[in-house]
Amino acid sequence: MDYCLATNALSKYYKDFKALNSLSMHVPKGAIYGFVGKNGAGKTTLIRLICGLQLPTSGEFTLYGVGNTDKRIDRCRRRMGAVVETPSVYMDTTARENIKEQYRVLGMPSFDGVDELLAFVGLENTGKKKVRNFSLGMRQRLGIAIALCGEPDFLMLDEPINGLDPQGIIEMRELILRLNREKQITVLISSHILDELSRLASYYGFIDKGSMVKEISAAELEAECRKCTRVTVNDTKLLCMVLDKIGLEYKVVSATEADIYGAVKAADLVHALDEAGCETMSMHEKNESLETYYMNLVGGGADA
Amino acid sequence: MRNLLSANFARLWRSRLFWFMEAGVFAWGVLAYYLLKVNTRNGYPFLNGNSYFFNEMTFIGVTTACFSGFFIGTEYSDGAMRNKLSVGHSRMKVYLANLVTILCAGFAQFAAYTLAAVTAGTMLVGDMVWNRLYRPAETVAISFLSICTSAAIAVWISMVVIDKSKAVLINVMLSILLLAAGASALKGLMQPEMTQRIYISSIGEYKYAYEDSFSDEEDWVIEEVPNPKYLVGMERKVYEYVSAVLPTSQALSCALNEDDNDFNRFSGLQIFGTLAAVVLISGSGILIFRKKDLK
Repeated sequence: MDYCLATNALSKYYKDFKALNSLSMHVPKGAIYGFVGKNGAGKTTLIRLICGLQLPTSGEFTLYGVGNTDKRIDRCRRRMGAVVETPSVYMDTTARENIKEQYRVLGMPSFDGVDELLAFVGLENTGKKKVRNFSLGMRQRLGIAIALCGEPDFLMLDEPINGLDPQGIIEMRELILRLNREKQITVLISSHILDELSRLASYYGFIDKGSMVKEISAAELEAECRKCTRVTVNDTKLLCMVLDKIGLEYKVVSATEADIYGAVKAADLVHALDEAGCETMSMHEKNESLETYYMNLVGGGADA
Repeated sequence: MRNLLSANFARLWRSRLFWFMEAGVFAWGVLAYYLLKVNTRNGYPFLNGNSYFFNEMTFIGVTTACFSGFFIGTEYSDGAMRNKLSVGHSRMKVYLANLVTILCAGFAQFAAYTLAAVTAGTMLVGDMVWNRLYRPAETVAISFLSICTSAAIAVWISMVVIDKSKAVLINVMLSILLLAAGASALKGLMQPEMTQRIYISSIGEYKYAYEDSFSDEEDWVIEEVPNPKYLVGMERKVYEYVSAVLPTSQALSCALNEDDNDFNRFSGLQIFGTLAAVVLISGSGILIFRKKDLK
């Protein structure tokens, strides 16, 4: 698989505090990568390192296959756009002037794409309104427009829906999906709002205390979170035989546990197992959401 | 770097603070020559042309420092610095582009005042604007060197201190301190080698000419003697080296320049000192900025 971004044992320490601790992650090309973690887990630190705002203490990362110590990394960053924490916009100018300023920073030959970009993020009618008078949602969209000025292949958005109202959240979601589908931009979204991420992401990376806990595709996650019945028995071999006979889909989790998918008649199953000489210890329904999946991964705690 | 400069100059052109300062400096120039006209009309002689023509050099370090704090501080406070770095501009180029921009803003202030001095001066005092100038070409050159050092110091602070209000405060405080230090260094160097000692026979005491004024009734005799405040040897060398690197010392010498109180201000030491100061200050600034963790 081709990766836009890959990190290998990336660490960043602030004195004794380990903001990133040997983090290894892989962002596939074309994906919307949900970067999930609590506040202070290290999400923003990673984005700062990739953007070149800070230097790693140890470890490395590659952007489009180019290492962070390679001289070509600066040129690779031209293919990337980012909104780190708050949108980076001049408050005392208009949206148009902000975009033109970034065009100049990038050395674009003309301002031809400015109107199109403003329209794309829905800010075409802001006219002479100063950015300081924009709503938070409008600023976020302007921040994304600025990140898009260089027509990047890879966009990193740090908590893009924080503080937005419901309407703003919907607009932001649609914008990110359009960027991914219409412009084939790989998007990394860091967030702790899991419900919203689950509507967007095609890949997930779960970070805790600066380390990657798990990377998983949305399809794999869906399978993991699928509604099922968890059965605990004394012999899973006998359980498998019975389930095969009944024709139920299942997955053996451990020597004594299995997840059964589809509708299960508990009384019938227990009876069949009993007849096969298999003792049923417990049986309960399992229906994991992204939230509970995450909590199980990182061992609970607030803020996610 | 060309792209960064283009973006910076576009911002400079739109900056209200920049135009406010340009207008303020121009108005100051007009006011200086208006007051000169009033003074000459009242019988005061017009001797030192430089103190009018280069008057802005007394405060240009403070205004450049203040402007630098606001201009670069806004890049940090609004987060726009990130937009430059995250698209692959190296930190050295970002630093140098900001240095060039602040330098140009300083030169623009100089130009605005000069424009006011030429136009208002010619209209109000005529040819005397030019007649009273002392070594104008050299004074312009030293003024530019002084602006270079002031800008280098201001940009160093603005790039290293991320907090905008702190950067502005430190910039202004330091530029005022440097002004005081420059004035002190210049005062020491501008002392004449010989001075007049006065013997007052009625009280039997000696006094130096710079100490007091004397009334006509006193019976006194003037003697030409070496000035005890004239710096010599190592002390003079130290003052000269300090003056060579202090932009405010050079700036004040440009504004106060007088034929009869001259010292070797247009020396190679001045030029070398200024250039060395700019290179060292900016070099250390770039090194610190390259290692700095930005948010």
